[in-house]
Amino acid sequence: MKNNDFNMIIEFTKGAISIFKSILTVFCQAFKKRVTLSYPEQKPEIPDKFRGMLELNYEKCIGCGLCTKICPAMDVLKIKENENGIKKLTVIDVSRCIFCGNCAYNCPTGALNITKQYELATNDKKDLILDCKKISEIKAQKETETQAESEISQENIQKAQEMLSSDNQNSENTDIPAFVTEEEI
Amino acid sequence: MINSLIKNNDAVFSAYIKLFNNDDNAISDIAQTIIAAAYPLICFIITIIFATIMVLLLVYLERRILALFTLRFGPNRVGYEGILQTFADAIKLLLKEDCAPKTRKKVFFFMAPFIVLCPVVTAFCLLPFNNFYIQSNIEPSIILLMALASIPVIGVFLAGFSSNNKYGLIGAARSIIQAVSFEIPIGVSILAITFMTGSLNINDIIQSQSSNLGLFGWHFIPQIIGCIVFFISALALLNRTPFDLSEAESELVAGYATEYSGIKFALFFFSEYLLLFLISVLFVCLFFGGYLSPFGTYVLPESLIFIEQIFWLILKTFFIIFFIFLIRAALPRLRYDRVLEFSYKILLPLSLINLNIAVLIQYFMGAK
Amino acid sequence: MKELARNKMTVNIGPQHPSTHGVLRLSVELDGEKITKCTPYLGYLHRGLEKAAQDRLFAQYLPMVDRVDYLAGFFYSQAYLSAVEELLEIEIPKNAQYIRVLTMELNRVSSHLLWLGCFLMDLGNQGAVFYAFNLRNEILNIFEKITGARMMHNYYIFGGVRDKISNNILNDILDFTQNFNQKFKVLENMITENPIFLDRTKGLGILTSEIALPYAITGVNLRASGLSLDFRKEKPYLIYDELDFTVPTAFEGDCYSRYKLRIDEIKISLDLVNQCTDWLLSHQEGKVALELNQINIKPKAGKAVSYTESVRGLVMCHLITDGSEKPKRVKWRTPSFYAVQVLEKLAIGNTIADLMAIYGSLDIVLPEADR
Repeated sequence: MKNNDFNMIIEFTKGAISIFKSILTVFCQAFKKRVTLSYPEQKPEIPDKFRGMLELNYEKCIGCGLCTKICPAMDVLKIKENENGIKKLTVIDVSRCIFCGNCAYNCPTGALNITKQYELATNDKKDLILDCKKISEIKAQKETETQAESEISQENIQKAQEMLSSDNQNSENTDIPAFVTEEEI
Repeated sequence: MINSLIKNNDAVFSAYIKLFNNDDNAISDIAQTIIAAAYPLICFIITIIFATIMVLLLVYLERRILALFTLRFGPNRVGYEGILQTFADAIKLLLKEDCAPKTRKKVFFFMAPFIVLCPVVTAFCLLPFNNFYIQSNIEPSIILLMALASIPVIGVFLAGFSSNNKYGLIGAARSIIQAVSFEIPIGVSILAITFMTGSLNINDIIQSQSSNLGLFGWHFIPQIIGCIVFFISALALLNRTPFDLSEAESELVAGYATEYSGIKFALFFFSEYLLLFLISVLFVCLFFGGYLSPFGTYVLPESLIFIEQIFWLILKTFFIIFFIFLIRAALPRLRYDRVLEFSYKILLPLSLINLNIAVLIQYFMGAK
Repeated sequence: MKELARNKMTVNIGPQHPSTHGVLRLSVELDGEKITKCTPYLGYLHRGLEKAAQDRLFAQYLPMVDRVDYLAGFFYSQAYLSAVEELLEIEIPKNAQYIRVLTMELNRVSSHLLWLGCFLMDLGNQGAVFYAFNLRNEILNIFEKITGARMMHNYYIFGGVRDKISNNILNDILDFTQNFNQKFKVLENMITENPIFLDRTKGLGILTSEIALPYAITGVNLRASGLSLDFRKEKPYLIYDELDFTVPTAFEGDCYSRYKLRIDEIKISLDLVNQCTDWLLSHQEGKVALELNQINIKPKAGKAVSYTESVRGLVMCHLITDGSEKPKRVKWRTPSFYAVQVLEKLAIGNTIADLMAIYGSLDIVLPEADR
């Protein structure tokens, strides 16, 4: 009898100590660094192999159809003939894509690539059905624009340098050409 | 008769009673009516505002503190650092459709949230925030406080019974049995404290802990067993982890509030957090010296002591509430039959032992 | 006088659970508080994965295999590929075998951590989920570096794995395993000797081997009942016969011993991960895949069965081919399907709170049971 009571008291104390230990362990967690990323302000680090949205290099595509054949979701990629009669991948349906990467891993020319883009929410589901031809045209237009801008700025820099060097030679020349004044403004 | 219940040192309330009775015909009838009506109304408004702010704060604090222990942030975007989060949740609940089952008992279904809420809000006027002004300083204030804290159990039963839902009934029955079983150890612990103090008034109990020793003169040292018993029973009365089986989410029952939606549902949880605050304040007043300073003397000058007392009370209460939230993050739930076993086989004998210790201490250190 | 008949109440633990076990319907007959009958109803998560295999090429089906049990995707890929590779009569290179075992054992650890968090949440401890998921998050980050995705990896291919694991990632894995024990101590301190937890799980839901074997239970549930059956030792596949590990067994068969065994399995798996990582660090020159055309896979006509010791038990993939480029029939034998059925025996005589504890300890994952 006595032994039983004694055991009970020992069990009780052991139990109380371990409850106290678990409370103490949880309390110590309050001083550790938070694990949450405050999302729009802090973004996670994306590794290199990350599978995000697909992207097509329209020129390299030969319309072989391997991507369509190997896609598990079956209605994501559509190959159609464009106006020149050449078969190309024209439609990528991001709303049906499962981001497995089968298409990009098996593309023979390397035209279909995986980007790191994961912020794909839109207000209208139709915005997720991408037209590859239009995207490649917009991209080409942007590239020519940036190229033209960089060319113009190169010209301006050259002309300004000539002006400065001519100023040093001819300091009484106050005749400043019109476009330099506009640039300074 | 009322005069005998009021304590003598309550200047404001005594002045009010004098004006109310208008014994010496000093003021006109109209002025008397206005004062008679205004004083209770002002007290009522202060209590309601205080209770609402306290609930909003406590719900927000619980989420932030639980997140603190689980390596997260908690709500920190709505308002400055998330303070308005509960306000947003309350607005959402207000705008919800109040759908209820057709087969419910209409009168009881409607009454139940109010029975759960009103006594708890009323009990706020009994809390001793400082020595000079307590809203309602009556002689047996502890008894009234515990009585008011026990009425919500009836509301819980009505809620479960009138829902006409078997899950609600099971949840309600469990809640009631748990609440009733844990009333006994709490009552006996309070009895032990009253033995040591000689009075049922909370203010007297606090004053009896004041001494030059400061921290070491409080009741938690001679009554350490009573302190632990009271704390554990309080957790059970409040349906908090580890005793929250009646509102457990991994069970199929959603508890007594299964069929409630919208603002009525909010009122149940409003009252749960208010009761949490109430019992924490009671715990602090009984065992940790209420509004007394742990240094023995007050830091601020004479005229500002009442502010310092409020500060000490709120600080100690928030420490206890912090500890209650920490327990929620750390411990799993006790099984229901173990809960009752724990109450009757462990807590009740401990509280009776504590009562004996209290009587012995009073006998040897001079009776009151 | 008529005898007072005790009315039994039938209660439906509906498909929508607050806890995270998936969609299962349990129709439970209660006599007061005790359960007298418990019938599980499956099928709420049926996705037709076996039928989908019949319309798809072998390589087209491979990403869907990861999704049969999304918590243990690597094991199902291995099961399917093992069957196909048996019919193709090829053997994958040594490096590929080590990489497969490495990723599978890491997957075992991550799935057990998720189980631990959810089991403790069912018992009421709301802090433990976050600690377990925090550890699991580190493993998922490692998977993201290796394969490109946190959960549906699509990393194994016919003939091996997609690409090799660089030394940086292998060193990251070694860092993880070395720091794991210290971080796991938080969970162990909180739970293992906690009297509330012990009281909720000891002696509960005792599964003896006499009940378990007719229900075809395998995995940890069976090993906790005394039978030491682990298909990594019985029918060794890949390089498990070269690795050094023990198979822990317990004899009580209650919830607590299943919990203890899974914790031991986590530690043994991390030891296996260390062994594989050390081997890979010193053998980086080997090939990781045979040069096979993934799209033109045409195994010979026939039947193959593969055995894989997955997280929850034995996974078998029966594959019937007829020489064409699409399989004729793929049948998955998944362990959770049988574990759900043994619930009808284990639940009797317990209360609903205990039912949740037993259900949690069996580690049932519904997508696996429903396919």
